[in-house]
Amino acid sequence: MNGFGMDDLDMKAHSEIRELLTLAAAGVLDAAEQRQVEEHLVQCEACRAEFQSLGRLTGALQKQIMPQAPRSLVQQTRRILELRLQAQRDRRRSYFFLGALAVLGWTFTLLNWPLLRLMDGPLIRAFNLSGTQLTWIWTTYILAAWLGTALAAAILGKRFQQEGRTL
Amino acid sequence: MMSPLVETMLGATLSFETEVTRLRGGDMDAIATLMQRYQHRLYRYMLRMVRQPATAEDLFQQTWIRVMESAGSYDPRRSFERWLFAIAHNLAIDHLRRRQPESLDEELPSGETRVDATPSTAPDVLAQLLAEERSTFVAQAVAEMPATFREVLTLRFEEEMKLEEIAEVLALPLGMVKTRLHRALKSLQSVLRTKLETGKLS
Repeated sequence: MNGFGMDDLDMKAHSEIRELLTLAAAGVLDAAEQRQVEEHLVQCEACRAEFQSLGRLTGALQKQIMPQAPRSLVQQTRRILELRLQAQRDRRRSYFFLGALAVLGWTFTLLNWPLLRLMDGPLIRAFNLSGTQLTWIWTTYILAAWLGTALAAAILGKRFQQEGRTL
Repeated sequence: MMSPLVETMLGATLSFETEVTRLRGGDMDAIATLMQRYQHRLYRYMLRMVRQPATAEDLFQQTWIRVMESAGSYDPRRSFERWLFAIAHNLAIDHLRRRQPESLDEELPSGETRVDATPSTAPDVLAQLLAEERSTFVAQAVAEMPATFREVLTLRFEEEMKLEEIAEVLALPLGMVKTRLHRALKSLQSVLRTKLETGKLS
């Protein structure tokens, strides 16, 4: 027996339980641990006093004044979200419009080829062009049209991004 | 036949699930309903974390913007509450790191934490303080604690989350959450005792 009326084995259990007292007071121990603590508390006055003290502390924590969100905060947040959502929708619509425009442009330029083949006889005769020259002119026209579309898309995309950042 | 209480609870659950599903589709009304439901809890959590009402309001708004932006990737099998608080936790921690990058645990100059410095045989004058229900002092003492301790205390005692839920919000192992909660309570107990003994409580 030691000075506190406990033998070494009890002291070991006492130290272990002591470490569990905070979690017991917080109500987060599992059933077995909780039972272990309760059994120890019946026979240990020091732990019982500490547990009661911790219990009062956790009780006070639960009784704290709960601050409420200001009414204007929720309304203001809602407005911000609505603006962002609207901007998101506008951006999506713009991207769709841009994509449709690009597809239309490309389709139109590709359709030029069969049209050109139909007219190449009269064209060659009117401007005195060779078949190779005609093909080069057509290819340059296609590349310029595609490059122009890509450039316009990049400029618009950059603008959307900047608009998104300012929101 | 179901009791009115069960019917009400079932109805609330169903409507909540609908809101979460609509949220995934980017429905503004769904976000507004969820915001209404969690406004006070989320604001309170932010206020406890950053202590400044203006900053708490700013982070509150950022949290809902993040919710709206990430709604598509939200897994409805996961608890919405834990997902929301995890987002809030990340934003609050990022803010605190930017403001005081040295440490969120705020160790004492000696290198000890407040818990290590706790005298183990301090007289229980705390009982006297708490018996008088001066919970303002408790709130004051909590506000002076490190952010990691404030957070675990508010999630457990104000938001009434279980350890597993806190672990999910903080993305920490369960053992670490237990240790943090234990240390936070011991630290608070010690701070209150010291304050009372030195007469610093007003």
